[in-house]
Amino acid sequence: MKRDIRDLFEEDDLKTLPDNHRTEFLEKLNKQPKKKRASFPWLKMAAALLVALIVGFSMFYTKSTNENVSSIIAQIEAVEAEYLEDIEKEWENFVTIADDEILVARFKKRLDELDNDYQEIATQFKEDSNNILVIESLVENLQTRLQILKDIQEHIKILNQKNGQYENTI
Amino acid sequence: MQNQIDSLIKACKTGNQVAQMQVYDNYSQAMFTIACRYLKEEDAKDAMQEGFLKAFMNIETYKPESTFGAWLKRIVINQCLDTLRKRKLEFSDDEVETLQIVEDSNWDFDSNISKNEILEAIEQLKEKHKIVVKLYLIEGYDHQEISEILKIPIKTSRTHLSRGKAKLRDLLKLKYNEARY
Repeated sequence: MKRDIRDLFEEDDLKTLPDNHRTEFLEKLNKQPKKKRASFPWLKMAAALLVALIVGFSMFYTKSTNENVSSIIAQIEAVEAEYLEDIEKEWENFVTIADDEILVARFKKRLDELDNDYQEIATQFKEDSNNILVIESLVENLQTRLQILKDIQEHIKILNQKNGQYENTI
Repeated sequence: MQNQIDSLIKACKTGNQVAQMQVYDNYSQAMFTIACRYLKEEDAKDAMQEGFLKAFMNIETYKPESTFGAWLKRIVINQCLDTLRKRKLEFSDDEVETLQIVEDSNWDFDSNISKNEILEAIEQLKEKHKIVVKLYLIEGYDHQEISEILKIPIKTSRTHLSRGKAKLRDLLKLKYNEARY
């Protein structure tokens, strides 16, 4: 009896991966240079508007007195408070829907890192309140945090939809 | 299933790490199994993971005209071959290019010969024949595809395959005769 051995290989037994392969891959993935995130357009617009406002302000009060500087600081603080509130809200949403301690811990770590960065930039800002680059990086930092939370929630939503589909089909 | 993959790929395009891990979980075992045909397990795992990283970096170039699995498989195989190349393995072979090979599509072997015996015999082939035999027989690529993957002329691919098959028949025949007597 003869048989065509090409047919033999159409299916193959799967090999088992070493236990730690997932963690290892995650580390490798984290070391990759990050791709630019596709951020929400309104977020960009808001930031641009904010920066324009701040530049406008500092241009207007060229003879910058202490008062003017403190008005910029007050503005920034208001924006900061708003962002932080949003971030907090998104974070709570995320924790509620995530239902996964490891995932939450991982994002907590990322946000904490960003927060540390933020504190550093904030110190710079106190020293040099008129520096537009410093102000920009403050806003960018807040945006990044918000974006991270939005992305992960979006993803969880997709996953939940899928789970829903499975349940429906069963 | 297809919708699920599509939405995952979409999420991967935005650099979403959770989606990337999801894709990894879906395909890593199959890709690892493929990589193990070319490399030892430790190297196979590295090549497989490297393949995934490359795929995520270049996910924009993925076109839905092939399945995502097939696209990924090609990347992983290329990654394995790169590893082999680094060990100075040469796939092309000048001496054979002048030889004419009669195309022979007969792969009928004695049905008593098991899959494992065939795999073992393949491992004994010369490296350059071995790769072509694996790409053709196990992965199911045609000579056009093999010539693209290995960057060798189609003719060379045919020659290697034909030689590989002849040797394979010899090896298995020998084994069979030994078993019989």
